[in-house]
This record gives sequence, C-alpha cells and structure tokens, in this order.
Amino acid sequence: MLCLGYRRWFIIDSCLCPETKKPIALSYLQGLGVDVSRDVIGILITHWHSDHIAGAYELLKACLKAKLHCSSALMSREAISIASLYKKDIFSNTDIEIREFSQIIKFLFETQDRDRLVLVKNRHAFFDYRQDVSTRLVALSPSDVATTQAIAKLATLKIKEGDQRVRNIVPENENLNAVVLHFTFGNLSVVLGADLEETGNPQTGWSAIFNSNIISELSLPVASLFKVSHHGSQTGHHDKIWQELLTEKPLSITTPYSRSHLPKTENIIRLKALSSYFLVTRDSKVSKKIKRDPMVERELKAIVKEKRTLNDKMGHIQIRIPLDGEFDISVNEHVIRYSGKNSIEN
Amino acid sequence: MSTAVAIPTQDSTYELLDQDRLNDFRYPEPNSARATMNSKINSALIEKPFLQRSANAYLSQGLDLNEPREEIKQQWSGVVTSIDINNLTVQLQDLTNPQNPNEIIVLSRDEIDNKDQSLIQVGAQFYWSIGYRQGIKYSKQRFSNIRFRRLPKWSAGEIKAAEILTGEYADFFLAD
Repeated sequence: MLCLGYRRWFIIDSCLCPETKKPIALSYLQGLGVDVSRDVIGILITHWHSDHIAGAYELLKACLKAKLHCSSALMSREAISIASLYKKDIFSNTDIEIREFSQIIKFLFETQDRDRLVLVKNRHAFFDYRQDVSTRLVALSPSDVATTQAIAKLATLKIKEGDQRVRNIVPENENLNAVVLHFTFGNLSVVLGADLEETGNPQTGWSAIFNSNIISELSLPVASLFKVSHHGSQTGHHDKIWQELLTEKPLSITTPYSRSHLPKTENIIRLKALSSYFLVTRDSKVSKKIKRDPMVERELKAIVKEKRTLNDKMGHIQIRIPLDGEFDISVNEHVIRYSGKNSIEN
Repeated sequence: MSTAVAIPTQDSTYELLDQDRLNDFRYPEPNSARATMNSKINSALIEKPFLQRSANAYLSQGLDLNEPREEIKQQWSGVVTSIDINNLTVQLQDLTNPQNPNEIIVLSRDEIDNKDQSLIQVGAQFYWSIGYRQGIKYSKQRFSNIRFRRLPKWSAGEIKAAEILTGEYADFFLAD
C-alpha cells in the first residue's frame, strides 16, 4: 500500500489473511482508522493470479472512491468470457482468481459504474501530483506484445460444451502481463517489480522495459527501494534492473511464495550481494512441528516422501520517507532481514 | 424321532389376506371384512400399524455388524500443486484441526487409486483420510484413503448463458 499524503491511499494487489479470510489491506487500513470509503483513491491488480487478486472484490465494494486499475488483457472479451462461466456453486473453492474477477465485473456491471475501471499498460500514469511534494506513479509494463500474447493465450482457453472442468485455468505465464510500477515521492523513488519475469524475448518481460526507452522518455530517476519481482526468483532477475533502474546497493524487499519455496537460498545470496539490506516478509522455510495421533504420523511416514509445514504468518514492513532523510523502516516479528555483509540478522 | 408340523388348510381367512397383500401393514378400514377377520385371527396385527417394511429395511442396513467400521483419525483436503512422472506435490489443509497451518508434501503416484489416476493434474482437488478399519469379521487395520473430486463437464446451458452474459459485459465495458 502507498500512502501519498493528504489522506490518500493507493492499494497494490490484494490477498487474504489466512486467519480471518479478509483482505489484509482492508483490515490494516481500518485498523489505522482510515475511512476507506473516502481515502483510498485506487486499487491495482497487477496480474490475474490468486495471490494478487484474492479479496479485490471486497476492497472494491468498501473503497467507494477508488478506481480499479488492471492490465487491458484482463478486460478483453476473452477474459470476460471465461469469467462469465463462473458463478457461486458447489465448486466455489476452486479457481479463486476467476471467481474473484467474475464478482468484480458483475459488481461494476450491476452498479453501472464503468468509469471506475482503468486499463493499464506501460507508460500509464496513475497520478502525478505537483503540490508540496512531487508524487508520481507510472507503469513500466506490460508491453503491447505481452498484452497481445496474454489475450491470445486466453483465447485458446475458450470453453466449449462437454469440456471437462479444470481447476487452474489461468496460465502461469500471466506473470508476463504483470504491471511493474515506478513510484516517485519527492527525491526518493521506488520500483515495485510485481511478478514480472524474464524470458529472453526482447518484447516481453523485463527486456521489453529496457528495450522500450521508457526510462529516458519518462525521465525516471533511479530508485533506492526495490520490491523484488516474482518473490526473488531467478526468472524475475534482469541485470539491467540493477544497472539502469536502481541506485547501487538499494534496499530490497520481497514476499515469499511458499509453494515454490521462494526465495531459494541461491536467490537470497544473489539479492543480499546486490542490496544494502534484503528484507523478506516471512521465512518460508520455517517448519513447524504439528502434533498428531501417533498412528497418523506412522502412516504418513510410510506414505510421504517429503513434508514441510507452510509458514502462514503475515509479515509487515513499513517504510516512511522523510522529506530530507533516509528510509525509516519498521518491521514486525515475522520479517527476516539479510544484510549485504552478514547472514541472517533477523 | 419325528417332528410334527401343522399345516393349515386353505380357508377363506387366508384368501382374504392374500388379496390384501400390498397393504399387509395398513390399518384396516373399520368394520371392513378384513378388520373383522383379523380381529378373530390376531388382534395384535391391527393394533401396531407402525411396523412398516421400510423401517425394518433401514434398521437392518444401519446395524449390519458384519461390515467393518472406520474410525477416522485424520482428514485433509488437498490440491495438487505440481506433478512429474513419478510424484505429485500437494498442499494439504487440515480438516481435523483447522487451526494447523497448511502443509506441502510429495507423494508417489502409486499411492493414488487406479480409478483416480486420470484425474491427477495441477489444481486437482482431493480428500484424504487416515484411520482404523475393523469389524466382527475383519481384523483391525490402518487405512489411508485418497479420493479425487470429480467435476461435471460444462453443459450446453452453461455455455449459452455465459455467452449471453459475455455479450452484455463486453458491450458495457467496451471490450474488444
């Protein structure tokens, strides 16, 4: 979440609290006493995966003044035709991302509020305030080619009578359609990498950003804070991110992706070396011992080849940017801190 | 030694009951021929109208002690997160103790029932229970039962309704 001053908030992506099943952003802002119906000016869904869209419908309903920003591929006829198939039924715990999107377009349609929807591609400016402090948010991706590819991929998923229902219909390469952001607040800048990955194709992924001349076109200052893309994975890396978009040794932060065990050890070593500090919102490797009936444990031992417990604690990193100083960072107890010199400091 | 068995003669009483066979346990109409006859034969028959066959069938099924009983110790719901030729990686949600965190485990494909092998794909959902099974004719044994969910195919009606909705949405959102 970005707080832009003057009681303006901008929410980037949505996910649910594992315990309450409520959108975390909503709980956090309401906990701070923010009037979300008035003070949230925008909600961005960087791409169509459940860990980025879950709860966005509830956010949209609560944040009455907020525009909903998403990639134009997500509002293509191909995407809408998939979402139109899904409604509340007995399989409602499947295809979370499609059902969430389906609820969003149904809500906007029923409220006849098309103007709340804003389609995004590279060079899109979300806002550019020139009051006391210059505050600007622009999109560095997706490229036109990435958007076209995403729509073409969605077209291949068109469902026909007699087709078997499949559970995970949104393709994994939807990450190439993710919205990367460049945020400027006064003299400090931030790059928010979303889940954008690099494939080697010069017209998609990170390469498209560096081949499009967008950095000089928009006079983007180098950033000293980087939300590392795609949970710190190797596929989220591009050398030019560190050479052209960021200052030397920036402060880097990321969120883990427990299913894929990201960031992996080699990712952490790389990111530590590139950063002054590297913060991860929680340690995905923590393996809590669960107490069970001994008989169940014996049976599991006989069947299971590998087993680990997911760390579902919610880490929180708060970074304040004083007008004339360095970052003021506060974290909660779940955040892991790696420094460029030492190993885990925690 | 011999055993004597009394066989009743075919008289009018039994003919009447046979005609009324479909309503063996129906309370007879007052003053009907059957009520009169029954009262002479066995008054208990008409004084207990609730002895119905369906109830007997239900009770006998529920109390069949010859079938093994299952004592479930642990249940999960799971979703397949990745697969390869030999194994599947799944994420488990504890249904027995919902406060427990989710777990990621790797299983051999051999652990999955042959009937469910074709359902193994990323995103597939299943239920898994572990427990004891035992009965009068069965020795106590552990069991582990993984059953994949079966989802119906998309119907013509669902596709048609979605197409209409897509048209309305696309017009409203000016989608290409």
